[in-house]
Amino acid sequence: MPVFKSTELLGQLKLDAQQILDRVEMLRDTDNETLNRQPELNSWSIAQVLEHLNFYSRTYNAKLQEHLSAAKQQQSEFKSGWLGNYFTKMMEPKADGVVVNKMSAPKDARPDAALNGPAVVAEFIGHQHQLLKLLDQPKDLSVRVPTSISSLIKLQAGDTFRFLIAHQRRHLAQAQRAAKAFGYKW
Amino acid sequence: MTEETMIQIRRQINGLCPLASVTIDALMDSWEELVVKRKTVLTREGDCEGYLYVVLEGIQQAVFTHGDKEATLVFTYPYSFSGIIDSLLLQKPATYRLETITQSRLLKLSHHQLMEIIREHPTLETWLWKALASVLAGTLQRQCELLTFSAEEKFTSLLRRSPQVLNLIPHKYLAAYIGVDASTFSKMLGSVRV
Repeated sequence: MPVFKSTELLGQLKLDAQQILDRVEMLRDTDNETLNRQPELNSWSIAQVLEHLNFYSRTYNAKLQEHLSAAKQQQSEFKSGWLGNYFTKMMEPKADGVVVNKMSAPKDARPDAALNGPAVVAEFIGHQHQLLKLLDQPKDLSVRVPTSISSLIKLQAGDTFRFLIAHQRRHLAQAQRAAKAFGYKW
Repeated sequence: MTEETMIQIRRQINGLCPLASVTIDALMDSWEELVVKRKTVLTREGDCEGYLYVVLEGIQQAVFTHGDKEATLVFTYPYSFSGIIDSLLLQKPATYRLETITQSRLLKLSHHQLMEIIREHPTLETWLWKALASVLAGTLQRQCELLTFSAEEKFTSLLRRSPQVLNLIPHKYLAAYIGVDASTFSKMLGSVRV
């Protein structure tokens, strides 16, 4: 399993999270109709994608905050666990941006078709600022955090961060494709 | 950013093609500073480049991967521009990545901001095509050298064009850049007259 220098891993994740935030902030002035537009039937709109990501942030930001605040000092190295690494790898698009394994979102993470687009965008931005603060804490990344699959399955905080961000990148690419499909410059 | 740095950057920009102060001011007011650790990927293969960067501190490289082979296309260092330029301007996925070799401090400008500033200051577009022509010339020259020069000639050319790189960039990266192994590079340092 990959071993990371903790500061390097967090540096990379913070940069990735910031780039995602920068991108979504550009949607601040986008109208509700555009945000809710589906590129084709049963394909998610930008708002649905962001709401799906919000679901994960609502679940994980609080758990990460709770477990990290109780954690020890950061170790210089973080060793990824098998499951955490597996989930992260599953999320990553291939080098040309193509998503390899299409998955269905879990039932409770599937958003409605008609959402309050601007509210969803604002919520995402709020969660992302929180995530950036979490990534700034010099805490032990090996502390275990329960997953949304089951509270009995726990991943190390470092892997949780890696998974969350890979997941965001995957879906952001999806949202950008949706925008491109109906000709919205984003 | 220090006064000195701002002067350097303005000089760099003007040196390519003189711009009105108000245009350079528009750029300077929009840049945001970014600090990034070493070995951080700024733009991955497959991502669309979102930013134009100016390097304040540190070294970055654009790397193309093919199977288990890697090639450095370009190094960037103070006060050059950085960012995957073809991906940025065409808004197409990058086919190579941009990463930091050392801890870096950069100024970033989003694609959106760049387009806005060009809309308000059309002369920036002239500057942009001159910058691109310059990059293209350098790229073609490098292609010629890679295809026809001997190891010694490539070494000499690199050091004549950019002598400062010896102090800035770890030699193993320079060796890879000119397609020689590190020990050959060290030997050439000792023996080749520049």
